[in-house]
Amino acid sequence: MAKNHHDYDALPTDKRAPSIRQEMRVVAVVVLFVIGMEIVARIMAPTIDSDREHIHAFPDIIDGTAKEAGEKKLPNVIFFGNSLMRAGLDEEIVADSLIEVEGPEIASAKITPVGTAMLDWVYLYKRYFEDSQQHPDILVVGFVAHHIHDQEPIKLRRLSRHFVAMDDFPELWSRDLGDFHRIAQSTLCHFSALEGDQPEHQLKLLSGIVSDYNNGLNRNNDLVRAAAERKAALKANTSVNTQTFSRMQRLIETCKKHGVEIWFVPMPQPEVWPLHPEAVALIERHGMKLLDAREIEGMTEEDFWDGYHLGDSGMEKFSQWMAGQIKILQPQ
Amino acid sequence: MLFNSYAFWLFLALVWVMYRLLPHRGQNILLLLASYYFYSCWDWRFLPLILTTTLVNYFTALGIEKSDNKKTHRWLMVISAAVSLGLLGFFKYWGFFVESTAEMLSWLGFHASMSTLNIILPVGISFYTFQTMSYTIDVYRGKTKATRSLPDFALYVAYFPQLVAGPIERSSSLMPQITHPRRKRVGDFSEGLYLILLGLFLKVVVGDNLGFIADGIFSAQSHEITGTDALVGVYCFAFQIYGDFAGYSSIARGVSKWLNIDLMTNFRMPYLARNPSDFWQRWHISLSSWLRDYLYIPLGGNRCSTYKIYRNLMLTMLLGGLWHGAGWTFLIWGGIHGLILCIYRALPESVKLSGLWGRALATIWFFHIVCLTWLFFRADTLPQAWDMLTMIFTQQEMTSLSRYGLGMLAFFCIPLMIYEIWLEQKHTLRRLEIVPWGWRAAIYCYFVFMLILFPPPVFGQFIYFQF
Repeated sequence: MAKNHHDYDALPTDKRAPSIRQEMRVVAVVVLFVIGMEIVARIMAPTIDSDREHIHAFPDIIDGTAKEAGEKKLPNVIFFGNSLMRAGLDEEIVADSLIEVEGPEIASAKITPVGTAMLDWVYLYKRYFEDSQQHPDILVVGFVAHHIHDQEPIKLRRLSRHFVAMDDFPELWSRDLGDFHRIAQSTLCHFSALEGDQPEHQLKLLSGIVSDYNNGLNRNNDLVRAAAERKAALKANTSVNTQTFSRMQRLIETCKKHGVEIWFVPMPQPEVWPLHPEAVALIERHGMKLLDAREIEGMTEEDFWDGYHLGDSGMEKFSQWMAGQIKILQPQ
Repeated sequence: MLFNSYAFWLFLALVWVMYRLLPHRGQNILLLLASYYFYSCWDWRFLPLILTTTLVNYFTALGIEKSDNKKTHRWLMVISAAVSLGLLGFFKYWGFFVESTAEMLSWLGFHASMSTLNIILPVGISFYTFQTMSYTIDVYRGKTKATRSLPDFALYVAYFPQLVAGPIERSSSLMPQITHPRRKRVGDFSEGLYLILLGLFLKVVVGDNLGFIADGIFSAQSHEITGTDALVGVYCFAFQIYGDFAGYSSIARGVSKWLNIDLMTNFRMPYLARNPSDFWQRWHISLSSWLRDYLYIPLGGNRCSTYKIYRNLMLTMLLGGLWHGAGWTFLIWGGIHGLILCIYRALPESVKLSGLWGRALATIWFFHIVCLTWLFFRADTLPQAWDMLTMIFTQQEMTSLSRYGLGMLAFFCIPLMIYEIWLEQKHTLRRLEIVPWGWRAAIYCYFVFMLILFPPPVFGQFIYFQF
């Protein structure tokens, strides 16, 4: 039986083989199919998930805050970061608290795409603030330890599609990527919605088809991460673990050039976490401010809904604390 | 430079354009230079190794052909085998040998401090060593003529589409395609396109996605998973290694088709095998046929006493296991396969299942036997393999991880298996090329859809590069 289909050149012979012309029709259909998928992806792009909705609204948010600040002569404050700042800060509570403590009125907005870190923030700032010349007066950056040191891009596709401007690609390639594969990938993602938003499409499809997809994926991620950490811990015994902060420096320098003041806010966590002294030194060296929120009075483990993000009670405490800081640092 | 990287396709495009502009001799020189460049992208320091293997086998084969003296033939064959196997042994097995010796000495109560020199395994060494050896052995046996052209022979050894992970080609098939001018054939473009798309689908979509799950489960500590999780991990690995390796072979063949060179089929729906002998005619065919022709048959094959047949089967499979890697888990993997072959051989015909349902049952049963061997192949250590095996039989409990793993297996593998059953029924691997073009376009659209929307969470290396 094996002989029936073992031989690689058994079928088709030259006579029965598809001609180049016929195969070009097949290729043309595939190309049209890909173009069709790209069109669908572009139509879906602004509404795939709440994060994309937020990202697509950046120009309006930034423009709106700048206009409000300009018209009312208010300080323009942007709360910047990721889901920690998104879940931790309520602008209305901040505004109410400022009224209560007789603090200054501010024009504020949140720019907080989820799962972002310093590399995303560097390019996001350049694309949406620097390129449109709509700099805030104060950029409040919320973070924990693993968001600020130099590391591999967390989500290269989203970074390339949504945060890096066309003009900034040479910088991304030369300073942050380096290898050809990722350079090609980032370029493709910048121009194609299908490629750039691929993880979100994948998530939507698989979570609809595969039972317990999200929980199972998270569990698997945890196992892979734990194994990687065990390996890293073994390596750490033999190598010196040094963190660098060059991207943080780039964000600071960009803001400094335009007279933007950055308030770095180490965010609260259920347990107080160590802040790298080199990061502190960098902030101080450039005359930026460090508002330490790691130990806010009265904040307990119950204030975190998932052990990482602040819940409603935590949000209230953090927002009130933030209003207090604004009053101190930005008197009327 | 991986087949699933953008760099490789840029490299191929450049090579292909130049290739089309050159005459036959120029094409061969171009392919040789491209192959050395391709190899040096991993580690240029190993180029001298491949050059040594090339030169030694080239001159020994020429020497064998020029001489009429059988003693000289034998000596030249011994020199060639000693150099090829010596390099393979040193780079691949030295560390394992030293570590195992140290462990054994310490078990016997002797203190042994041995350095393993931290030898790096040159990529693809097992593949090109076996391919080169087959050439010299064939010349020694008088089955093939030694080539006079060193560049042609060097290209035979280093031909980039199959250099680092096979298929392990035979001189009788590949060498004439190198030495003779190649002609453009009508079906080469379409077959190449089919093989490349299928290969990318197998590697990127099936292999890498399921590999991510297998990696998670196999990296867990035993208290972190249940027996069901472990079983799902083994299933995932079974399809990871199939997707990864069959995908590589398919891309290699497709790329080669576009250069008008045929490489042999390396996989033929292996998980539809119904018994061990069937399996080895479907899985890594280029290695299993190499082991059959250059080891099993010279040992006596089937034409000897029953005891010797079993001995030959065991030896061949143990060496096949060791070929995959220097580790006890690989040796046990080979040993189990040898044992299965022996048991199957000893079974009376009446036990073997027939009829549609019988064949289906045999296929499912044998798939699980193969999975059992994959457990040992994938496990980092023997205790881990044993722990997981015990858990599979004692702690069945469905978790979110198992449900996710099974869902992903179904999502990626059911369409693949349906396609393979269709090919099996049609008795050809190339059925898709002769269906109406619209059907082919639809299936290619599916491949492309999956490739674009379901790439793996992490960019995956090919598993077989380490062998």
